[in-house]
This record gives sequence, structure tokens and C-alpha cells, in this order.
Amino acid sequence: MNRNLINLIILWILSLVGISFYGGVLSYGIFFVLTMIPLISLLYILIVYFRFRIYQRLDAANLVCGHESEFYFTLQNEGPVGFFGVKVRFYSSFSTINGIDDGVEYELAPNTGIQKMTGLLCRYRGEYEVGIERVVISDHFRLFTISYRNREPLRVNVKPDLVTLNELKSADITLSAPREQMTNPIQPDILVREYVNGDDMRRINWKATASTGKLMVREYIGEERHGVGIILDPRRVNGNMHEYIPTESKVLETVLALAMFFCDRKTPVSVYSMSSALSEDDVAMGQKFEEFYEKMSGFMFRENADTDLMHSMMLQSGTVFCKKTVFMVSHTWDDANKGFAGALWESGIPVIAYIVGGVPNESDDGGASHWTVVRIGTDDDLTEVL
Amino acid sequence: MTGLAYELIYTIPTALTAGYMILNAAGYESSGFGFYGITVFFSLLCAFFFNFGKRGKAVMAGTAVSLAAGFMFLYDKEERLSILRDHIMILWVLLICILSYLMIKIIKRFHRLIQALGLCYAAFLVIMLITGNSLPKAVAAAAIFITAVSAAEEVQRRWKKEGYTESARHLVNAAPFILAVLIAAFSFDMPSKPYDWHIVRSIAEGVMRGYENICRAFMPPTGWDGEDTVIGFSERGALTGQVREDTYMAIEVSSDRRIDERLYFSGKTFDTFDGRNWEKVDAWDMDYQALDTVEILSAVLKETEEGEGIADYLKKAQAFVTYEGLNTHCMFIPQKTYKIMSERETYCTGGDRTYAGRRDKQYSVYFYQTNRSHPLFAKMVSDRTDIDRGTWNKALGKAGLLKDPNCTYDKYLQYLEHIEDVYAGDVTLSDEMRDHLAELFAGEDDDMRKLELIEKELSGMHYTDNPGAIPEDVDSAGEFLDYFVLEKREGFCTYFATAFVLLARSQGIPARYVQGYSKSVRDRKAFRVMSNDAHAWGEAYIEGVGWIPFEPTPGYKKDALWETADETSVSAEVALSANGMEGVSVSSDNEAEDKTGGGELGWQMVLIPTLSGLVFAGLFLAGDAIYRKRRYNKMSERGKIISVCRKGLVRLERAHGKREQGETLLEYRRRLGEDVPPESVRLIEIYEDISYSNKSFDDASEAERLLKITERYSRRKRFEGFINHFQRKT
Repeated sequence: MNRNLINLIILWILSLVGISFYGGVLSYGIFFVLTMIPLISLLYILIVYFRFRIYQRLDAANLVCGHESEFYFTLQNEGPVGFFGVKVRFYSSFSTINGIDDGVEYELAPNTGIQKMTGLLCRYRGEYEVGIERVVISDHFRLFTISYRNREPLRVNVKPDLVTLNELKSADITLSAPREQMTNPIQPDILVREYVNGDDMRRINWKATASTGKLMVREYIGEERHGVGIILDPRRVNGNMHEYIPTESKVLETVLALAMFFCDRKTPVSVYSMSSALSEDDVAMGQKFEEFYEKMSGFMFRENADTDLMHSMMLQSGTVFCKKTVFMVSHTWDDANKGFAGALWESGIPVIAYIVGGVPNESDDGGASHWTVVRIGTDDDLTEVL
Repeated sequence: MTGLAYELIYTIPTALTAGYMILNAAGYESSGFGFYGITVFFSLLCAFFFNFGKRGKAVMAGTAVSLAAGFMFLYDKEERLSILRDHIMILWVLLICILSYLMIKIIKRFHRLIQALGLCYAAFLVIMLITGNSLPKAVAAAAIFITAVSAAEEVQRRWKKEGYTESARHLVNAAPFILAVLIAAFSFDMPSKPYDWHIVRSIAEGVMRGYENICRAFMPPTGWDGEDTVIGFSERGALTGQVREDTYMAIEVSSDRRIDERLYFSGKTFDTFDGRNWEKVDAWDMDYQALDTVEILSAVLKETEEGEGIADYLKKAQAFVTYEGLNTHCMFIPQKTYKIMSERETYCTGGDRTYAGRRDKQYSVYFYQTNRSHPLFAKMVSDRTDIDRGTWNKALGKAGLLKDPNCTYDKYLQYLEHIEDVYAGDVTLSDEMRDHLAELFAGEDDDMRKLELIEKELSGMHYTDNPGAIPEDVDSAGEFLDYFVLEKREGFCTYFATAFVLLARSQGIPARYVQGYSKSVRDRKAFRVMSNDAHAWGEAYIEGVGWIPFEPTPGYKKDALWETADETSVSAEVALSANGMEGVSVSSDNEAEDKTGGGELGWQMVLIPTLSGLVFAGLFLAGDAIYRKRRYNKMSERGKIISVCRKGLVRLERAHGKREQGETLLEYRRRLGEDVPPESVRLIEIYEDISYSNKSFDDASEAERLLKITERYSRRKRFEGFINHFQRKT
């Protein structure tokens, strides 16, 4: 309780003592005045509540996570009475307002307004409210303070950030490089084996055959496989906005960062995700990547998304088995993901799982080199982690 | 315009209050709409004049000059002087308004002077209140208004804000609300008497009574003869060594007339004493009260020759008795009761009336007050003769008991015999006691006179609540008398009452020991009988008069005494002749206004409002704390951390001063440096991180821990600052 209110209560108690000993205009007048002050103050606060207006504006057409945008707000007094103490509090869970102190109080004369220009930084991708969250009103004697939510919050749709990775520390990119980069131009066929019935005659390596005296055929490493696959887990963490927005933002950022990394190196990238149906996006730099980025920006995670179904559809289509390496990006390293990773591994495809959030545990170790799990915090810098 | 309004806010109330005080002191009429209207008008004129530009000033000055010139030319000297004399007050008001305005013009430049003005008005209000000077509503409102606006201005001065914060503008915007407060407040009725808190008192008394009743139901008081000897009514007649007080309200009595005597409410009578305890043996079911009342009525009728002047001896009265904190079925009956009205059934046993089953909350008794101390009464007793049937029946008629079969003359004769049998028991006196009494009575033979001498001797002894236990070897009435009258000579009411009854019986006079309540009433119609009003006394029976109560306990005697009709007429005539109003008749039974309430609750007048206020403040604080706690618990972890960090910042600002304009948290943190604990620095860092960085914070417990340390530090720092300040002063 603030000091002014304590002083008022003390004076009011003294006025009670006063009217007990003294009658007349003065004693009762003081008592009634001290009694009416809180009532009139509350009435004043009601007036402010109904007459106070907030106008908010963002200059940027598109908001991108991690990039500051100009943000304007106006505190407007549309009433005939002065507003003696108005404070605004900003949303801070997913965004930050730079250049202005949250604790400043404003006084507005009748029919006047105060305009402020600041910078708005959205920390996560998603759709949420930014700007002014609450208004705090005080009366002229600072006896009472009420706080109420902004009746017209500013809702924005923030796109994920595009992080440029210079290197991928968490994965051996040689595994996913095209065949041409791996083979020695002088000796393109590194491995040979003995001829077995059914092998293609065109694959017979005559040199090796001559040197060994047996029919030898060429064996190409990864000949049927090319490019990388990125599997985006479409499941939502839970219904709590404070958990799923940061997680999903990081998941999408990771997917985009990986896709851009490999596209930069001209490695074919296919991104698997599922909305209503399984979708496979073959990503390349240029217009296709722009489209892919827009698609990822608007990607909807769902709590009831069925990853088992997605995995089984992927297994059925079989395109994922053509990848040299598969990256799984999810918020959980559960049995479903492990199972699918295991299936890929058995087909000879290394899997690197990027798990956003959660804590490392024993099951992260897939045993030998079944898979690699990399944990990413929701606020981690991808250039450091990936 | 803002400046003008600001000046008017201070000028008008100042002019009103100053004008009222000055003109009142000078003997002028300084209240009413005329005075207020003129004051406001002149204040506005002054303000406009000084705020107008040159043209405005010129117009106003020109108008004033023209008016003055016209006045000079239209009236001659005599008329001018006459008009000025008749309306000098207006000139005074004008002067006061100008001076007030000029004073405000100077004061408004310095906030200290504004503060001083506010404090002066606050002091003025307090002084006027304490000295009991009344003010008209408008003047009081004006004085309170100035105090309030100066307080508002001070609040504004200390309030760090951005925007339209200029002091004058703020006050002009705030003044309408302050004015609304005053209008609302002064529209209430303002009585000239202090508030009597009857609502709070009623509630408090009701709560206390309920609480006491519950306690009594579970732990009934045992009275002064129980194991735990507490002063209070008891249905047993044991004499104990000591008693202690335990005050609660026993019964409440209200009467239809003013009472100014010691009233005795008999609860239970006892007839047999074994040296240590009284017992009740008499189980006769006759209506003793009615018979006793008719007997005294008969005596008065005989004395007064057919009832002329009966009011000189007896006055009818009615009382309503309400049980409060008492857990008994005994009824408490005043002497000379002739009618008892209760809804539930009662019965008589040996002169005591008791509820048969569940008792009423309230009953009424009709009785006669006796003019006990008047010489007429003593003469009536000494002139007493046996009552004949005729007189008895007349008395029955007077009491309205003609049809009562329990009050016939034959019943009366049986009653006489019964009293003689039960209450005139032998008391064996020792030789020493006999000699003592012989010396006391000195040959006196009259029963009434003997009784008075006994009463006088006993009431001259020493009263104590702690006389000690009766010796083990005392086991008869005679031995008790030897112990108490000859040796101990001190005790409390049961001892004195017992001694009186035994001494009376030793002289052959029937007497009984009575326990009940005795209240000395000073000219009241309603009063509360408390537990420590419980009393024991003796009653002696004088044939032809009835039972007469005696008060042998030291310090208790106060009988009724009122003027007879003759005495009243004589004294009224003397008074009237002194005032030149002979021949006017005077009633001898004036009923003055009841002045109950008012002065009895001295210290409670402070305690009740203070406690009420403290209770209200406590409830408000508790509610506020609960609301804040719940709001805090509903916040997200991030929200909690932000809230905690802000609180920590406020604590640090209290200890080290606020952040300067534009100072960032980082700069503030560096400025505080090593003066503050590292935990407080960490708290500011967390606040910075959470406000400006992308770090996530999932747990508020660490911040809460840091806040506690910061709060402790802040309190210590402020306390040290206060001590240092005080030491510097001294």
C-alpha cells in the first residue's frame, strides 16, 4: 500500500476521533471530505478508463524475428478532464520495446495526446500480441492505482529469421555431398568387388579384373543417394503459448538455416513436412527458396499432428531413402522419432536430430553411430549450436 | 487562462476565510450568500484585472473611475458618507480580496510558501476545531479546499512524470475533483453534537453479550460461595474466606419512573444458619411478596386515615427486568412487589419466586418504593398496631388483589404464624455477646430501634473482600457471632448480613438472610446490574409493617427519601414567592429529560473510533495483500521476475535515491557500485536481461531470493540514515 493511502487512512481515523469529541461543521466536514476523497478518486479512475485511448502503429509491412521495426504509439486523452498518472506496460514475453522505459508515467491535459517512437524487436516467429499490454492509471492524490489490459492490442505475424550458417559443426557434411565431389577424378571408382551373377556387365572393371585375374565389378558409394532430407516435425509442444511459440520459432529457424546452408552449397535439399497431407519441398536458391520461406513462415503446427502417419507415408513414398543424410528437426526425441531414425539407419542413412528445448538424456545416444542428437535451446544462436 | 484559474483557486478560498475571520472579529455580518457572492466577485475582478492586457486593465480601471465619479456627483457629501458607512463591509471585502490576490501572486512563485500556506490552513482548522469555534459551511469548505489543493500540488511536485506536468495546469485540472469532494462532503447534514456511535456500541454490546452468554452457558459463574469464589449471585448460602471480582452484566432494569435510592432485588432468601452456611428450609408456597406488600399498605392506610397522603410513604413503580449474563431460574424481585408479569410459569417457595421450567428473557414487576428514610416512615413503624380485617381488605383493594385467593386475611394470619415459626429461631448467645448487646442497646426496648442500633454497629466495622476462612471451631450461630462481632469485625456483605440476622433473632425479632442484587441508582430510569452488584443483606419482620430491609454492610446504606406533599408545597411556595410567582401550583413529581448516554463513554469515545478505523485499515490492508498475492501467483514466470525486479529497484531507489532522468539501468548499477550487496546488483542485471535481451527466464525463485536480500538491505540502510540524521540534529 502506498504512503499517500496510509496517510489518508491515518487522517480518516483521526477524523473519527474528532467527530467523537467534537460536533459541528468542521469536524464532520473534515470527516466527510476524507471519506469522499477515495470515492471521487475511484470515480475519476473510471472516467479515465472509459476516455483513455491508445493508438499503436508499426512501420514495417513484414516483421521478421530478431529484426527491429519502428513502432509508434500515441496516448490520447479524449476527455474533458486531465489524466494525472498514466503508465503503460509493454508485452515482454515474445517482444521487446527499445528506447523507452517501461516505468515512465505520463500526464495528459484534456484533449491532448503524447506520441512516442520506439523500436519493436520480436524475438520469435508466430502470431502474437506486441506493443502495449497494460495500462496503469493513478488518481490525482496517488491513492489508488488500477491496471487493466489494453482493449485493442496489436497482433502481429512474425516471420522466422534466416540464419546464415558458415559451417555445420554438428554434422559431417561430406556424408551428404554429391558423389562428384567425393570421387577421385583419376580413379573415380574407389571400390570393386567380385562379379556375382546378375551384376550389370557394363560395370565390370577390366583393369581390376586384369590385375586380379577375376571378374571385378565397380561399386559406387552412395550412387543411388543424393542430397539431404530435412524432416520437420509438425507437432505442437502443448497449448501454452509461452512454450510453443519459442520452440516452433526455433524449429523453423533451424529448418530454414539448414535448407539455406545446403542450398548455398548446391546440395539438393528436400524438406518433408505435413499439414493436411505429407508435403515434400525440393528447395533451391532463388525464387524457390523465397517460396519455401513464405511457406515456412506460415507453417501451422498442430497438437494433434500424427507423426507416425507422416513417417509411414514417408516410408511408403520411399523418396527419403534416396537421401544421403537426413536431418530431423523436432521438439522431442521420442520413440516415434527414434523409430523412424532407426529405420533410416538400417537403410544406411545417417540421421542427425536437432531437438529444440528439452534436456539431454541417455536416450540421446543412439549407440555407436545410429544417430546424432543435438539439443538446441530456444534462445540459442544457431551459428554456435549447429 | 491556466495561470488565471490557478490564481483563482487559491485567491477565492483565501479571501473567503480571511474575510470571514476579519469581518467577524470586527463585528460585521460575514456569512450568507451576500458575503460569499461579493467575495467571489471581487476576487474575480482582481484576477481579471491583473491578468488582462493593457486594454483590459484600462477598461476596468476606466469603469471603476466612472463609477466613482458618478458616485461623487450624484450624492452630496452627507449622503456619500452615509452610504459608505452603511456599506463599509463591501469596501472591507474588496480590500481583503485585493490583498489576498496579491499574496497569492507572490506565494505561487515559491513552492515552499505554498506548502506553508497549506500547513497554516491545516493548523487553522485544527485550532478552530479544538477551541470549539464554529464556522459556516462555506468558510470551512474554503479552508479545507486550500489544504487539499496545496496537498495535491505537493503530491504533484514529488511525482516524476512526463507530459503536461506543469504545476499550475495540473492543479487547474485537479481542482474540479477536489471541488466535487467538497460539494459531496458538505451536502451531508452536520450535527452540532459529537457522534455517539450508537450503532457501533449496539453492535459491540451485542457481540460482547453473545460472547458472555456463550461463556456462561459453558462455564456458569458460581458466585461467591463456589469453589472459585467470584463475586456474583448464588443460589447457595455458604460463607467463604475471600471473593474476587468478575464483571459481567447480570440483569438490565428499566423503570417507568426515576429512581434515586438503593434498590434491592431479592433473588433467594435463607432461614437456617449452622455457623458456617445458610440453608433454606422454608418451602411454603404462599405469595410472600403480595402478602408483605398488602401488609405495608395496610399500615400506611391506618397511618394516613383512609389513604390521604399515601404517596408520602409509598410510590408505585414498574420495572422491566431483563436477564443478560445470568444462568439462574431465580427471579429478582424488588421489595413490596404486588404483581409480577411473566409469560412462563413461576412458583413461590419460602418467599422466593422461581421459574418452573424455561425462563423468560424479560419480566415486569409492579412494586412500591418506600420512603424509608423519612421520619414519617419511622413514626409509622413505631405507631404500628395489629392489622384488622377491614384495613387488610382495603389494602387489598388498593393493590388490586381483592380477588387473589392467596392474599385473604386468613392467609395473612397463617403467614404471621409461619414467619414466627421459621424466622424467629433461637440464637444462643455467649455471655460476652450478651454483655456487648446490653451495652449496645442501653436499655432500648423497641424492636425497630434495636434493629437500627445493630445495623449501625455493623456498618461501622471494616469492609474487606478477604477476611479469611471462618475458624474450624465455629459451628453454631452463637460462635459465629462471637467470632465475627467480637473478634474479627471485618468481612464482606454475607458476614454483615449474617450477623445482622442472627443478632435480630437473638432479640426475638424474625429475620432472614437475603441474597440478590443491590444497586445504588442515581436518578435514573434504566440501568445495568452487574455481577459485582450481587449483595447479601438482612431483612427483619415487624408485625403490622412487614419485612423491612436493613443494610449492615459498611458503605452501602442509601434508602429512599422524598419530600412529602406538604414539604413540597412549602418549599415551592417559598421559591415562587422569591420569584414573584405566588399562587402557581407546583407538581411534586417533575419528570426531567433523561440524560442517559453522553458523558458515560469517555475513554471509549477514543477507543471505539480508533479501533473501528484500525479494523477497517487492517481489513483493507489484508484484502490488498491477498489481492496482490493472487495477482502475482497468476503471472507467468517471466512476469513474476519482472515484478520482483521492479520492486527491488524501488527498494534500492528508496535507499540510494531515484535514477536520474535518462539514466539507464546499466549506468545506475555502476553508480551504485559497491555500495549495494552483490545480490542487489544481480537483481538489476536480471532486470536488464529480461527487458532488453533474448535470454529466457523460467524460474522466479532466484529473483525472489535476491529481492528479499535487497529489501533487508534497504531497510537497514534507511534505518542507518535515520539514525545518522538524528545524531546530526542532536
